[in-house]
Amino acid sequence: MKEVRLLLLSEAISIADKLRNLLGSTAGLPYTIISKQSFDDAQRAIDSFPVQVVMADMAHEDAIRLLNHLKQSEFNGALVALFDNEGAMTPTSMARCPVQDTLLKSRMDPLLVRQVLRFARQRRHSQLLLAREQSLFTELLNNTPDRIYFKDRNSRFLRVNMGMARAFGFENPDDLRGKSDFDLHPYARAQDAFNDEQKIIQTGQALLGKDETEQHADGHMRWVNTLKMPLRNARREIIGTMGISRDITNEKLAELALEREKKLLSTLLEVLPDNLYVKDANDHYIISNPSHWRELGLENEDQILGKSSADFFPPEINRQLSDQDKKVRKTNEPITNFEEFRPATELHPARWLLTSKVPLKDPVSGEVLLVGISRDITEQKHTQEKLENVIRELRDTQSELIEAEKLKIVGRLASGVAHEVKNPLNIILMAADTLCSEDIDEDERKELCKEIRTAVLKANDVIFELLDFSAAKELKLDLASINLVVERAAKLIHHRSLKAKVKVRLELAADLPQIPMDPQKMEQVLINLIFNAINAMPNGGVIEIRTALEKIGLETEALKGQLIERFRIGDEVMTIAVSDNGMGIDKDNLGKVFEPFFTTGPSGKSSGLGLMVTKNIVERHHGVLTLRNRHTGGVEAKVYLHLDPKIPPNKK
Amino acid sequence: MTQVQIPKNCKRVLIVDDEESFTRMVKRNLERDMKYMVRAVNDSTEALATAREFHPDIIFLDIIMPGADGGDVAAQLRGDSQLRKVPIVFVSAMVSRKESAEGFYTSGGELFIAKPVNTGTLIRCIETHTAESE
Repeated sequence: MKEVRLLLLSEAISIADKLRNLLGSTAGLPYTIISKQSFDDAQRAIDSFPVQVVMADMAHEDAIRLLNHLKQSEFNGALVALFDNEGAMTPTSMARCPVQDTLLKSRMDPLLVRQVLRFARQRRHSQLLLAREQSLFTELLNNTPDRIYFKDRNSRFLRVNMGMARAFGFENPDDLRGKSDFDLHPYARAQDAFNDEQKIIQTGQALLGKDETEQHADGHMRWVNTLKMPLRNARREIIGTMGISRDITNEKLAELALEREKKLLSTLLEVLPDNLYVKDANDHYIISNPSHWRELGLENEDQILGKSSADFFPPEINRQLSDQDKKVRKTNEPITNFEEFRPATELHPARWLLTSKVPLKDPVSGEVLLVGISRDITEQKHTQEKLENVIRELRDTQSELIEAEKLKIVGRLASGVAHEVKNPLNIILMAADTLCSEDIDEDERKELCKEIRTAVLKANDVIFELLDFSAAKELKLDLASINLVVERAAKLIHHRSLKAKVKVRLELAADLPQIPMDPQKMEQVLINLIFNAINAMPNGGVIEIRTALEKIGLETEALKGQLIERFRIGDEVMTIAVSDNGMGIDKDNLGKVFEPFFTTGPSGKSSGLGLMVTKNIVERHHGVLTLRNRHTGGVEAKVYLHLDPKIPPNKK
Repeated sequence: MTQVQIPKNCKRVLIVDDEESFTRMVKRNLERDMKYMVRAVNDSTEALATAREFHPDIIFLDIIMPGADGGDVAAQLRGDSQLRKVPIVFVSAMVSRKESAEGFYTSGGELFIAKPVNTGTLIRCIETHTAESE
């Protein structure tokens, strides 16, 4: 059994002995009596070892001081005042006595002493418990961010906590005492709370979790969730209300944002013409938009939720679908925009769908969901097929036309060759006739030899041009600067242009990229174009050569035929334009200029092959050569070249 | 080239061909024997006017020429009352090997002579067709 230490403050040593005798003679807790004569000794003893009871002799001058001191300190033992006799317990002395448990020296019998000591210890224990509870309660009130308030039956604040005071801009909770909601809130809001509280007071029913708005001292509108209940006194009578309000603004905002998202999403799903669905990890539909369930022949979303594709598709298609799903789940990679064919069913004719499937990790459950979206592209597909057919037909027709055109060109070539080569042959033949006759003088012989030589060279030229024109000659591709090529060609032609009183002006764009070309062939292109330009201006004039980067646009002047075949709108191309200010080309001739042996140049001077050769070289670069009459007079020849370093492979 | 005196009764030959060196050579070779008087026209658009003035006994017409081609020129000549009866021989490079071997020939009612043509064939052609027309 644990012993109980009793410290006695008294100048009379006999009292300690008397207590020892009394307590020793009765059964119960064993007491150890420690007797001290002065305040300081008593204090020291209490500080140095545990003491369960302090008894102060009220005859001692420091008795009240000690008791008061201990009562307000952390000391957790019981306190007992010892009076001499009943006469000493005057109202004055009782009022001064800080403790309730008292003993009289004149009436100390063992049972009474033990009882008083036991009461004193119980009382002290209860007081300490209460104090602790109170302190906890106060701490709670002052430290919780929740607003706690107690109101009387008229809804006036009896007490509020720190959180409440601060929310409304008060430093001290006491400042709110006696005020009401009408002092803090707009009238309607205060009246609403008042009505709630009156109802609680009348019915005794608590009001649980009502969301309210509050205008706070910082000017912000806050949402609070409020719990209100009746406040009762010890007799269980309702004396007012108490409430706790918690600021749920952030939660509320998040909730509103979520609601908005949900609304957005559901609106989207409603109006989306595409079929959209989400499946859980077990392949059950958890979301299906109207387009989706309607397409499956259902009347509402409920008819599909919780079911799987096996419930709606024949085994063949279902296998195909779940294979795709598995692949997406396994690789965790979406598959996008793949075209799938669906054979005809009772509900639908055969059709094409454009489908995407995306894996999505559910943030709540952690399982991998599958989001699928598909669109009926049957019509586009049909249109596309039709278009492809039309294009194929066109292409067939075109190649037939090209074949016919080729034959025509071969025929023309043959006749051209005949004409161009047979003339010189004729001269040679006739010269030979004369040279064979006997009466021929030396001058005539020389002259005829000269004629023969000229004729041979002319025929040779024609053959060379034909050879150049023939595709047998490969291009020697190299990255080259078109500006350098233009400059070189202009230099080579310089003498000829001077003679023809033609000025050549260059406008070369800076920073042009090098592109793959056969620089010598391209030089020939430039020379031929410049020659043509010079020939177009028998009385002299100006040739402008411009290089540039351009975008093929709808407005591109000659966007037709070849240009459309070789370039797409938006393509960036390099252009070389050679323009003269001569007389232009007859409308009738504009289509013929690229034909072999077509010429408007002086007879014998021009074979009529130049432009055809030029065009051929440009086309072998997969470029396009266009010719047009300028509005300001003269002709512009323009070469369009791809920038792409890879010359696309030859069609044939 | 020395200027040759051409006798008055010799046959008059008009040749229309854009190839100047060719007409020059024809003129030189035919006029050597002083039997023919040759007038060359290199611009086919001048053919009619020259023919009216020259009164040829026979006309050689190149077919492929810039400006007016042989066909156009023939139509013009035949439209002219004075020239209507003058024989026209088309000079063509576009002939088959067989036609070429024959030298001059008739096809579709028209007279043709194949390029390259030698002087002898040319003379035979002139003699044949001018004799007929008289």
